[in-house]
This record gives sequence, C-alpha cells and structure tokens, in this order.
Amino acid sequence: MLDKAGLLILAGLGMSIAFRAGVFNLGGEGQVYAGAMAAVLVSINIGIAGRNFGIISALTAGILTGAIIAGISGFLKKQWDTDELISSFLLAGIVIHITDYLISDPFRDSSSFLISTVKIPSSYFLTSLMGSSHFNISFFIATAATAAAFIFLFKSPMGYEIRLSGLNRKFVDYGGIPGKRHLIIPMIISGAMYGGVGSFAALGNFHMGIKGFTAGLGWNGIAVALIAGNNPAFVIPAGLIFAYLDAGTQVAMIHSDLSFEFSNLIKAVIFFLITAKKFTLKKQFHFD
Amino acid sequence: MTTPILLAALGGLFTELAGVLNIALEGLMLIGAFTAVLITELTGSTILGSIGAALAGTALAYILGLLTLRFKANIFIAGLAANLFAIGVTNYLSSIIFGTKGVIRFIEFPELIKLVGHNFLFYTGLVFTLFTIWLINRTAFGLRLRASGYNFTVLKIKGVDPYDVQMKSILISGALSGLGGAALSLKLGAYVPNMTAGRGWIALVTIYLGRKHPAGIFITCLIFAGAEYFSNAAQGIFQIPADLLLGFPYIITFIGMIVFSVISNRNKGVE
Repeated sequence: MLDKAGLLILAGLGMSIAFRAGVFNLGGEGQVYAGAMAAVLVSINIGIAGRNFGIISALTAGILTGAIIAGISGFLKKQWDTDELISSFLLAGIVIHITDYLISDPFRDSSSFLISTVKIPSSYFLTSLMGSSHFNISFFIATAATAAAFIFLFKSPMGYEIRLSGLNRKFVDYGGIPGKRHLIIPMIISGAMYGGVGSFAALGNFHMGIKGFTAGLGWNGIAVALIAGNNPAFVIPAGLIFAYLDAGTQVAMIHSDLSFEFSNLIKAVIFFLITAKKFTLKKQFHFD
Repeated sequence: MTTPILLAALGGLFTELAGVLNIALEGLMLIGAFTAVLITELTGSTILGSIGAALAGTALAYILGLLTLRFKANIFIAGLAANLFAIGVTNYLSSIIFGTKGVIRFIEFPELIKLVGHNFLFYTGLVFTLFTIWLINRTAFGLRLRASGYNFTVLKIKGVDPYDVQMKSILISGALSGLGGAALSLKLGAYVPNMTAGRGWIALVTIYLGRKHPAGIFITCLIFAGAEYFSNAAQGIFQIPADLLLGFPYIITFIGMIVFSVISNRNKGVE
C-alpha cells in the first residue's frame, strides 16, 4: 500500500502544479506507461553498468519520455492554441497503443506466459525496505519532491508566475510576464512526474514491462491532485487516503462479494462528488 | 461507420454551444451500447433497444447535469466520473445479468432494419443533422442555447434560466450519444467491453473540426469514417499489427486537430 502511495503522491504533485497553472494534462495514462517502458528498455539494454548508474539512467529515460510527450501538447497549445486537454488525451491514446505493440511484439519475452518483456537485471531493482512489500526508496523521494514542489510553487518567482497564470492569463501577459511559457512548463513538469512514476513502478514494483501494467495511475494522479485541492501540502495525505482506499477495496473484494467493477464504481462516485461545492466546506480552486 | 460518431458529435454540439465542456460523451455512448444490446435481447426489437439506449444515456446525463449545475461540481471531473461510472456499471451489470465480463453475443440476434443498404440509425443520424440545423438557427431554444454559450448573464437579464438551458443541452447530448452507442453495438449484434474505444473523444474533436456547425460535423464524420475504412482495409494488405491499428483513429484525430488549429490560427492573424 505504501509503495502505491508514493507513486500516487508523485503523480498527484505533477497534476496539482499543472492545475494551478490552469493547464490540463489528460495524457497521464500514456505518459506513465511510456515512461515505464522507457525505463525498462534502458535497464535491459544498458548491460552490466554500475548499479547506481543503471538506475539513474533508467529513471532519467522514463522522466524524459514523460516530459517530452506532455511537452508536445504544451508546445501545440502555445504555438497554435490547440486545446491541450484533448491533444494530450489523443496523444496518450497513440502512445499507449504503440507501447502495447512494443511489449507484445518486438520486445516480448516468448518464454513468458504473460504478455511482457524480459525481466530487468536484478541489480537494478529498487531494494524493498519492508519484507515482502514493494515499499522502497520511491516513497521517500516522493515525500522530498512534495516539499520541493511546495517551495517551488509558493516561494519561488516562477511558482508565483505559474499560480498567477492559472488565475488570469491575460493579466499575466499584461503584467509583462511571458504567460505563454507557463503553458509549456507546467505540462513538462507534470509529464516528467508521470514519467518518473512509471519508472519507479517498473524498477520498484513490476521489474519488467507487462502489457497495461501501469493502467489507472494516470487518472488516479488527477484524483489525488483534486482531493488535495491542488495544494502540494495536502498531496501526501490525499495520496495515502487514495492508496488506502484502493487497498481497502481490494481487501473487501477478497473477503466479500464485492467485485472488481464495484471498486471502480466507488471510485466513480468519489469523482462525482469530490468537486461538488455544496458538499465541501472549503472553497475549491476552479478553472475555466 | 459514420453513424455512432455523428450522433454523439451532434449531441456534443448542443452542450458545446451551451458552453458546457462535455467530456462524458464516451461514457454516454458506452452505456447506450450496452443498454441497446440488453433491451434488444429482451424484447427482440432493435427499435425498442435504440430507444432504451437513448433513455439510458439521458439518465446518466441527468446525473452529470444535476451534479455540475445544481451541486456545482467541476464539469470536467464529473465528466471523467461519468466515463468511469459507465465502464464500471456496464461491466457490473454484464456480470450479473449475462454472467460474463467479456463479449456478449447471441445466436439469434435481430438485425437492424435496413432501407436501401443502410440501417435506420444511419437515417436517424441524417434526420438529426437537419433537425439540429433547424433547431439551432430557427427556434427560440436554439437562440437561448447559443446565448448561454456566449454570455451567461444576458439570459438571466432576459428572464431565462441559463441552468435550465444547459441542463436541456446535457440531456440532449445524453440521448444522442446513447443512440450513437446503440448504432455501434446493434450493427455488430454484440456488446464488447469498452467497445466505444475512444469514439466519444473523437466525436468531441469532430465538433471543433466541423466548426461547431451540424453540416461541418457531418462532413468531418464522413472523413473519419473513410479513414477508419482505409485503416481496416490497409490491415489486410500491409499486415499492420492489431495494437498499432487500434491507435490509428487517435493518430488521424490528432493530426486533424493540429491541422485545424494551425489553419484557424492563421486566419486569426489575417483578421
């Protein structure tokens, strides 16, 4: 559960920065998946390098992949005013199918019963810190990233510009801040976070690329950001709650008649109600 | 092949004009596709099945409208929720009623009633295209619809409840998307989990590409259907892997979207 929470926190962080800037990144599913695949491919092909070097290059590959994919949508928005909400979703649709293809054909491990790549060398696994769980260093990195994101968003000039762009982009332009820059940067940040989530999931949890293995992390990242009210300070509790909810529905599934679909339904109901202002006490940040 | 996207896009046009960003088209279509198969199997009539699909779409749209307009939920998140809900509820009902989460197929499934080579839902799409043109341009409701998209407060001043107009637009989009889903599943004579496969999103894009005009949307849908037909044909010739083929509609839509925004951006510069 805690290992999931780390991933959700990272994904939620990226999204909350994007939402703060008034930018929608709907392509999380694709960015996580492609990022994870990039990390797997690098760690398989890098050969026997130093352990740290291998892990860091795999992570970098994943983060770059996610950042580039999201960056394309940001660039299109800046250049031609292409709606980033739809373009990022469509791009994810393309990327997911390409990654599916890569896993199920050119890089498939034919000796495995799963539709998956070969296992990555065990020297590149993120060491588990808690017995049989996949709990690893990624949780602490996510926590540190939360602090960094908080300082970035609220204490740095660029964070100020990003928040201002989300509130009123015309005002930002008028004030002499290059507002268009803050269409691309938040996209890249959230894409990079998603890419990182994918690489951590690949190196820490799955140890290989399996068809559709990161499915759901992209959408859940959005949910975490919204539960946290797009405030990095609340992303950690939100990530924990969401991971707990996920684990809880799984336990309930095993021990009762609740089916897998039912846990999806519960999630849908939470999504329905989470931003309903009549039910919440605190005024939520909203975007037009 | 045009019909499902066309119907959903026409539905989405109503919400788009009313100033509601409706990303739930996908879920509305899916729930329509499932209901159509379910009711057709129970009653043996594809017409009743189609009506049921429209009603199911309307019901889900009502929940969406209620939460966003009355309870002021974020339309975007509520739309995502509607999509998730549609996937969850169709799978759940499918496992309860049919005992399977997979493909639902019947041996004796009634075929869609056909007229001159096309099924009746195709003609429904055509009629609705013309009807929409009339409704938007020639009626008071159409005027209010467009006004609500332009300027919310104008309607209030004129004594019209803008929420009421938006609610109606959401309900219409639900009914038409449900029908679009029915066109998808009834033509195949089976229900496949998550069978809409991004068509709701493509419908949303065709609204922009069709410049928010029913005729434009109709032409765009024809182009998309042609592209889909071509990709299916190409699979036989070039043996493109299935995974890549599934991504093809997204690629076409993505390219179409970029081309559209480049052109409209250039026009903006001229003016």
